[in-house]
Amino acid sequence: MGRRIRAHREHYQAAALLAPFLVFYGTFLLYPFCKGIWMSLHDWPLLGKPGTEPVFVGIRNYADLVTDTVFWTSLLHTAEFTFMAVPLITATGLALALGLREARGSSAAMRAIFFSSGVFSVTVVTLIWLTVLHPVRGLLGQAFSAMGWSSIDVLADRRFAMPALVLTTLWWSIGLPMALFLAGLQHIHPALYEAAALDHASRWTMFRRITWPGLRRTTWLVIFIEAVMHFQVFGQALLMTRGGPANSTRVLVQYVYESSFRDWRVGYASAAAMVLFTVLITVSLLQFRILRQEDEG
Amino acid sequence: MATINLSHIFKRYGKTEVLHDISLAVHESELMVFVGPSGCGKSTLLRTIAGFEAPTAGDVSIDGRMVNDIPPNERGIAMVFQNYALYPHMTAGDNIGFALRNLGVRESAVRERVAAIAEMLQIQALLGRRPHEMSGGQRQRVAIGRALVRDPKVFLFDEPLSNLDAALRVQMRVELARLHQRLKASMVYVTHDQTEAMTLADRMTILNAGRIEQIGPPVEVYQHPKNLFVAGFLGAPPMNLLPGVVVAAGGQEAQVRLNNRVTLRIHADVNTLLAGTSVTIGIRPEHLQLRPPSGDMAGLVNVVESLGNRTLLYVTLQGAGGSTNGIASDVIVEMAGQQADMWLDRQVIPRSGDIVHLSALPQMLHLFDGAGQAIDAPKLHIGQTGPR
Repeated sequence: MGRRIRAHREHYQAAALLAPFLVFYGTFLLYPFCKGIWMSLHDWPLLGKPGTEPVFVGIRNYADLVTDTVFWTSLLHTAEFTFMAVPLITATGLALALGLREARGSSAAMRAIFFSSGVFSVTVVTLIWLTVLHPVRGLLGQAFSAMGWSSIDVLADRRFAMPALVLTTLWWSIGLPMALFLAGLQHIHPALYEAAALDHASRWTMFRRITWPGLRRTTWLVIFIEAVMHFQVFGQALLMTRGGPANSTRVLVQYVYESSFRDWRVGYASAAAMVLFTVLITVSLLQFRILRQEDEG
Repeated sequence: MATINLSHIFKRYGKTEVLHDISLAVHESELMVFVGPSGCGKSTLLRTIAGFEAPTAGDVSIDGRMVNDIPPNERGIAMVFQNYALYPHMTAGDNIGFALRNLGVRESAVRERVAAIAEMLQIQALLGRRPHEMSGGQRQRVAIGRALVRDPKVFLFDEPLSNLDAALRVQMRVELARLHQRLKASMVYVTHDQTEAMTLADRMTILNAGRIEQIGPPVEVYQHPKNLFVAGFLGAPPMNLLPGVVVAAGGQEAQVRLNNRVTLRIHADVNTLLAGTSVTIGIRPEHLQLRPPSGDMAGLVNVVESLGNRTLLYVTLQGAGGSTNGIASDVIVEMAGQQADMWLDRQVIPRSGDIVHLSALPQMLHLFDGAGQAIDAPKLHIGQTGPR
């Protein structure tokens, strides 16, 4: 009897501890998400005359997306951005972690510096890089003119605009992957390197046979976290290029934002957002699967 | 086979000195054990021989060649690490063959050598397994295989058995001893376990706080500890150490008053002892014997521990009048073999609360001066005069 009462009490305690999170999760994630699905099935004006009701349109919003070239272009640009940013950020994060592995003197300071850029808001970051990339007053412009070259407006050039956004993002977000790799490196026992040194392994062999296999799980984790994060790129594109030049940096979230708040087509924007959600959930499921395989392997 | 010479080795990390003036030699084919409590510097010393730590001062020579500036892989050594340090993403076979492949040895020769090592260590069935698929003892064998494969001149073992359970530790200890006999290689073995040290060592080096306390064959060190540290460190249960002050000395006899005011008579060639000097009397538990009431010392039994083959008595020494002035001088008495049998036969194994009379085996006593150094006093013999 006593045991049952205790079990009941533990249930209540667990529920009480979980409740704040569940309320928060339900109110700010689950409800808006379900509402989003619902809205995507309607012609849902952002503002309307009193009495204007959303009209149920079934999957018409989704059908319209299929034929919308701007939607496809923005999806493509988002993929392009992600495929450029994720490998670059992952590789740079790994390189920095390897370089700053020893938490001594300058390394510790460098770690802090590389990590600190992540605390800035996107507004600050883009402002810094707009200044750096300014063709006349910026660091880049000054450097070009010092060399006697004619300056280029990187952000107004179709070839360079997207790489410039990627570079900005790299500078902004390198802290997390570096920290994850540093944590991963801590799990590799130093004695392995000593054993390998006795076994005549070169530095490259040590990296290939000890460090890299030891970091595989971390690498997958970084790739997936970065992919999910950067598929949602928005602020950099909006604030630095406004999607230009000639739509060449218009990304999916920006498209959702503009459909909703510029064109007032909230239902249509919700449908686009659902596409984004589908991509992200697919990546996440893939992450679970691969990481589980890694754990079992 | 090789010799190792350490000459005036110092090691400092900032202001902390972890090795202080270490000089010793490991002879050819010798198994030298570094033993001492945690933090005594034994692993640092081993890593200095391996080349993973550079000495702050002093020279390391292997086989007559100074190796201070020579990287670990060129010192002709192999090492078995405490956590085995097997490469987790390689099979046992690849772990063992790793060094040979790095040296560019022909693949067929690598396989041959790995197979030979596996046969020797009885691990043929494990070659295809990865470390996480093996038990602690199996990993240990693979780690030894990896050390053997390169035919090193010197083997270094860094607490290789400390991660194994008690039964496996005993088994692996015997296997290591066999391996040493078979290979006749020079080995340096680090442990904090005195049983491992006593059973494996040809000679042992006892370290404490970065200094050498004593070097010698296990039995010699056990029987003739040079100082209080060694006396207290070796032996389980530890040696009974009874601090006191010489109150009277002369000729062949001195009287030592223990801290609890029990006074013991020491018969020995103790001309060097002067009244007023501090000394410590050391008696190993197995050298104390129960005697009929005429025994040299008397004491109150506090706890009796029966361990099957032997019985330990925890006894508080008392003066003739039973007074200890509130300060206890506890001794442990180990009754084993015949002695225990004798008392068992008579069914008079003492119980807690009993008064027992003890005598110490003559010539098995130890005497240490105020600085903790052993006083060489032949024919040491002890008796009790009572409290003062």
